[in-house]
Parts: sequence; C-alpha cells; structure tokens
Amino acid sequence: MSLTEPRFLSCLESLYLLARKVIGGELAADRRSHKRGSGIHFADYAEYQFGDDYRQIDWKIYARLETLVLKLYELEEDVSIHILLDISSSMEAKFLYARQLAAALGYIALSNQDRLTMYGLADGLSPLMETSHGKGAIMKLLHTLEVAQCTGKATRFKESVQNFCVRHTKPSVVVVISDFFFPTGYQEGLHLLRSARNEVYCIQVLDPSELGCDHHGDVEFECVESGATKLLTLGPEERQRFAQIVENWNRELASCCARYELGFQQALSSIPFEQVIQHLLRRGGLIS
Amino acid sequence: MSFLAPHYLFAFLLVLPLIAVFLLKVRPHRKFTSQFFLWEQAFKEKRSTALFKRLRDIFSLLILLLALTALVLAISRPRLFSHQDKDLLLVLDVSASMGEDYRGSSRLDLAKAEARARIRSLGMDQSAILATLAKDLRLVVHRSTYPQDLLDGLADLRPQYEPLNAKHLSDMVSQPNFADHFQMVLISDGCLDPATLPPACELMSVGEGSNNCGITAFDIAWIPGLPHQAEIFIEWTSTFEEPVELDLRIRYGENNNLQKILTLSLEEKKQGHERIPLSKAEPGVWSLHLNDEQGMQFDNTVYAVLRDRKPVRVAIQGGGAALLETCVKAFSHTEPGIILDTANPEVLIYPSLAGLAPESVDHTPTIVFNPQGSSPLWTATGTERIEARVVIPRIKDHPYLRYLEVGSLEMGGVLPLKAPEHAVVILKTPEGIPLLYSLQAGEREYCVVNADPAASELFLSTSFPILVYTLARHHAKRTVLVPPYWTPSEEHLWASQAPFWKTQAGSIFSTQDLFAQGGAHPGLYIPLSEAKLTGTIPGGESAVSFMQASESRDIQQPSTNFSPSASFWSLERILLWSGLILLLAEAIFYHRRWVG
Repeated sequence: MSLTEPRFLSCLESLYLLARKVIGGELAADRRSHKRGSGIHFADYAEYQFGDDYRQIDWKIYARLETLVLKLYELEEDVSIHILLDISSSMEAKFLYARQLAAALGYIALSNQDRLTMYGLADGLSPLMETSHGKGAIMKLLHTLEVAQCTGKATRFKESVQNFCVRHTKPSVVVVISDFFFPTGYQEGLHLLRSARNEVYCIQVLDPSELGCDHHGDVEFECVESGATKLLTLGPEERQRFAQIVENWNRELASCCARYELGFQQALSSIPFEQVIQHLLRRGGLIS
Repeated sequence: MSFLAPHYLFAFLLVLPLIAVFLLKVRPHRKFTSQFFLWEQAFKEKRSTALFKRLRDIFSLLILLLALTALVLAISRPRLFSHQDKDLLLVLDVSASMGEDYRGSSRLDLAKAEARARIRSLGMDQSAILATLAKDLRLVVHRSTYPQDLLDGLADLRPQYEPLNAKHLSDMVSQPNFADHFQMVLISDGCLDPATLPPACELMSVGEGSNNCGITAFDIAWIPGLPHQAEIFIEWTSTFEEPVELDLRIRYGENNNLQKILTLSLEEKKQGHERIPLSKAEPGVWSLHLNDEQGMQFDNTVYAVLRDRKPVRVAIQGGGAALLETCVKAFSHTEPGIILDTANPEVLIYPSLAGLAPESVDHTPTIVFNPQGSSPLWTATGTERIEARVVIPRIKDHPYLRYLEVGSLEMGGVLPLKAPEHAVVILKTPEGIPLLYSLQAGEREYCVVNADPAASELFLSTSFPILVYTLARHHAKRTVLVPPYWTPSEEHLWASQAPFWKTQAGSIFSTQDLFAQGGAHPGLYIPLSEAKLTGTIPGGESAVSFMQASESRDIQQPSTNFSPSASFWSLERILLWSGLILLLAEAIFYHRRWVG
C-alpha cells in the first residue's frame, strides 16, 4: 500500500478520529504548559513589578483595592515530536511497515497541531523532514516517507542520538521506530535520550521470521549491513539456541525500556499497523 | 593381486562427474540476515570445530572418492591369490532321526540353518549343489551360483522315514576329479557310523545326542499247531548309560485296544530281543508302544499284521495216494500249511494220471505225478522208465525250486516224454527229458512231475514232501509270504494274479503308492482296491513300520574339521560393503548439511 493512497489516508484519518475520541476532545491545538504566558486560560495573580506588561493589569482589582495586580494565564505551547526512523539496511524487510507506523504517528501529531520532526537512523542521523506544524504538512510528511529508502551499512544508534541531542536540547517527545538489532547495543542511546529529559517511546518493528529460524542444513548467512558472511550448519539444536538468543535480546530491550521508564511496544509486521496504533492509543501515554 | 573383471576398472572415470556433481552439490544456500551478530553469538561456543567445518567439504569428497574406489574394485572382482575356491556339495541328512525335536525345532531345521549359513558364505563366483541323503542320495538343486535357488531348495526339505545310507557318499566321492572340484559337507545329527563316511566328506553335526530306547525289529506269527496262539518277537536298542525299565504296551485292532502291558528291562548301551507269547491271538493289526518319553519318538511305536491262518486245501485224486497224503498231513501243522480237503480243494494232486484230469473239477490247478501213456499234457517217446540221477534245473530261480536242493535230487520212474511246446520246463535230465514242467491246458493250470514217488525211494527223500508243499502253495497262489509290515519308501515286486511265468514281470509299485491313503508314515493302512493295482495283495489289512537300528542309536558323532573354502567376507564383499557404508556415512553427513 502506497503511503499517499487515499485508502491509506482514510485509514490515518480514522486513527486520528479515534485518538480524539480516546483523549476526550482535548487535543485541539493545545498542550497546556506549566509555564505562565499568553494563553486564554486564567492561572493566577501576581503583584505588578516594574517593567511588567501593564496590559495584563487587572483594573477591576485596582479599582477595588488600589493595588496593581497582574492576571496570569497558562502558556499554551506546541509540543515537539521527533520520530527517529531506522532506515538502515536491516530494516529492508519491514521498512514499509515502519514507514506506515511513522506516517500514522506523524499524521496524528500534525493534525494535533504539534511540531513534528523526522530523522532517519543509519550510519548517522539524517533529517528526513524538517520541523513542520499543522495539517498542511501532512502531505509533505507522507511524501517524505514515500520516497525514503534504506541506506547505510550499519546503525550507529548511540552516535545518532548524540547528534540528535545536540540539535534538540529542549525536552520533547521522541519516538524511535527500529528493530533495535544494533550490534553495538541500544542501552547507551536510550540512556542519552532519557537523560535529555525527553519522553521516549520505542517501537520495535520485527518481521515474524526474525523471532526464530526456519533454515536448516548448510546456510551461508550474509549480513545485510556489513556484508560479512558466515557458513553455518543449522540443526534443531542450533535453531533453538538462536531463537533463545533472539528472545533474550527482545526481553532485555523491554526490560531496559521499563528501567528507564520509556514507552515500549513490539510490533510484528504480520499485525496490521492500525492495530498497533490503536493499541498505543488505548494504552495511553504516547499521544495524550 | 589380480582382477577377474578388470574392464570394470574403467569405472574409475566416474571420478570426474562425481567431483563435478559434488562441487555443485556442496554450494550452500545464501541467506541475508539482519541478525548477523546474533548468529555469531549463537555459534560462539562452537568455534573449536571451525577447523573441521572448513575441512568437511574435503572430507565429504574424500569419502565419496573412497566409496567409488571400493565399489569399482568390488565389481572388478579382485583376487589376492590365484587359487580357485572349490564348489560346495552340501548334503543334508533327511533320515528319520532328523525329524526329531531338539529344543523346540527339529534337527533338520538346525541343519537347514547351518546350510543357510554355508550358502550365504559362498564366494561370489562359487557354485554349490544341494542334495539330501537318506536311503538314497537325492539331488535337490543342481549346480548353481545363485544362493537364492539353493535357499529355495532348502525350504521344501522334509524328514523321511528312511535310514541313512552313507555308502552313496562314497560312490560320489569315488568319481574322478571329484575331490579337486568339490568340497563335500554332510550336515547330520550324527546318527551314523563314522567309518562309513568317506574321508573327503566333512561332517557337520547338529543337535546333541540323547539317550534313546527304541524298537528295531518286530514280528508276529502264529505258533504252529496251537490254535489262537501267536508270538511276538521284538528287538530293541538302548543308548542309556544305565539299565532302564520301560513299559511296553501291546495293542490290537484298528481301535488300538490295549491287550497287554509288559515291563522291558533294557541293558545299558546294548541291543536285545524279547519273545512275547500271545495266548488268545486274533488275526489283524498289532502294535507295540515303548514308553520312552526322553528319546526319539519314531521308534517307540511299531505295527505289524498277524495274517489269518489259511492253509492250502489239497485233494488227492486216484489210487496210490498214501505217500502224498502223508506229505500233506506233515505240513498241516506248519505255518503256513497245507491240509487235505476233498470237498473244496484249491489244488488237485494226481499220484498217477493218464490223459487229462476229469472235467468235473475243471479250473482247479492240478499237479500230476507219474504220467502214464500219452496225453495232451505230454507225448511219450518210449515206454521204458528210467532213473534220473542227475537233475538239471532249467530255470534256477523258479519258485518250484525255492526250498529244494536240486543237486541232491534223484528221481526214479521217469517216463521218456516230450512236453508240449508251450510248457515251461523247470527240471530236465541231461538227455533233455522234462522232469518238472508247468503248462496251461484250457482253463486249468497243470504241473507235471515226471517221476514215480515210489521209485528210487524218492518218497524217502526230504525233497519229496518239500516239493509237494511248494507246488501246492504255488498253484494256490500262496507262494509269496506277505510281510507283517511294510517299510516306508520300500519298493516291492509282486507277481500278478496270473501265473507269473506268463507275465513279463510283476508290477512294481512303492509303498507311497500302495498306502496312498496314509502316505509313507508308520501306522495302520487299508490297501487300495484290487482294481487300482496291477497286482494283487494277499491278505487284508496292512501296516507300515519304520525300524532301523542305525537311526535309533542316537549317539552324536563329533564334527570333523569343517573349514569353509570360501568366506562370506571375501575381498570383493568387503569392498562392496565398505563402499556402501562409506556412501551411507556420506549420505548421513550430507543429510545433516541439508536438513540440519
């Protein structure tokens, strides 16, 4: 399914409507901030200080008490959402699925008047879409994802995250969409994101065949990223051992996310992406 | 080292396609993976075998080349030495003792198992002959290089109620060049005299000898002159180390009614005999059963028939009968005997006769002594009677002469005469005058004795009553004494109902045919109807018994140094099996590489 097809767009719209329903219609262009600013919702009073904007003075209070008092309002600010999409060669088999997930999340974010930025993770951090805002950027988002391709020989997650943190020092929502099969590990990268006070959500995209091994006999494995090869003879014992290692790897990823208080969701490409998004919405946290 | 089929060595050219196919075959499947580092982690523990993995393709090819080499050499039939294996003559003992049980199976089954092993160990170019030996040596499978033919021949072998006659082996071995081409192996239970085995025959014993008692001879006969009294004679043999006492049950009739139980005392390792009187005997089938449960069973039960007393009825016609009546009366108490019966005679005797016998007693065989004048039965050539001091037998084995001492016979009162042309002359004088002849005149048989019993004191000679007795029984067709029992597989020669000298020969038939109802196993049998036989069987019921002392002496003979000339593991078979095993090993190895 193409990401710009009407059917796909219709699907994304349905997800957005579901998001609104789940979160109770409070999504419209506002994410309340603890900061005081120029919103429309009253927050508190403050004594006038020299230099304050006298337009904020509550003259009714002055008339009654002859004291200059300022009315404070909640600051309404856009939330920045960053999607880090793994575009390394290891994602080749499930890249469409990963893009569909990214498109769905981006659609909901843009529709929610949030600021959306999308990066690709591979040999380094490569911007896919600059920071955008509003529904007008939806087609740009979808077109960007449509033309995105897998590149790179390795996924340097830690270096990419470091680069990201340098660019974005302001805390934001970061969604990492990847298979998380990083030979150098994912812990340090996630730790960096967490340390930058970001709200991090990890979506592990897996092909069902990656949970185990269907091959048998002599098989020469070639790494899709590095091109390294290895001749192996696979029997039941070897297949079982590999499945165990994969299971341990995934369990460790979930455990790491829980330890860092990060959101985590495993998405098998055999499951329709809508179900994954719905599950995310219903579980809460990411959108609201 | 030489090869019987060196042209098959060209099969080594298969090495080239083998290598080509191997190189194509061993190329593994290539799979792209995003989890390469996880695979490396999974196989981190097996790095110690990395060297083997690198070399395993070479090993596989090496195994295939070795297998090919072994197979090519096998079909080329290599020979380390130039000697040729002898062919095998496999002789199985199928005598009666081989039918005995031995630990759940018969001894013949054991012999078959040994024979199978020998057949399977034949060299690939070695042939074998399968034969059985009992009373005769019988060829079962002709010379064959196909083991399956020989194995099929083995399957149908059955034990026979026959004794073992090892003399046939000697006859076989004595054939020219036999020892150069054949290795003879007799597989037997060893119930035989080892001295009868030819040196070139190797004996392979099966089973084990056991203590056995058996009946080796049995006869039953009337006691002459005593009505209803008969006597049983048996011979027994024992291979026990100590004396034993066994019950002997005597039964009578088709229903095996028990008549008597005796206890026989059998001495150790001896043969003996026993006489058992029967005070109230009846004609019919009698059987004996020796209660020996330990040893072989076939010799524990025997059957015999006590024939009905039927003396030949003789009537003496004409005067001067006193001498002849004395002779007949002398045999009236013998078994079998002759008696005087003028009312219903079977045979007529004329002490003297001129012409033919009266027509009133037509068809009755007639014996004529002292011929007078001329007659259709003779033609007188003189009137002066002579004395024959020398008697010449013309047919030496004639039944007339069975009990006579012809050399001491003197006959007086001989009338010079000439016998008719169709007469059979048995005795004559040196001058050619017939002394004793037989002929057929009309419907009647005649026997003419050209002598006067009163002359030359012939009547005082012992030959005279014997001659009367013999002639009377012969013309009453009682010449042949029917044996009390028949032996399985034994053939008998019988005269037909007509006077035998008028037939070319009697009828030859075997007990297998005679006792078709019951086969050739010991027991009681009713003979077939006369119409089915070309001869006649005097008497009524018949019995078959198997008694052979050699089969009953169950003493195991040790095997000779039997040494197979060929081994199953010949060089070519070793190569063949090695090649197959190597292929199997490679297949397993290869299977692992394909299916894990």
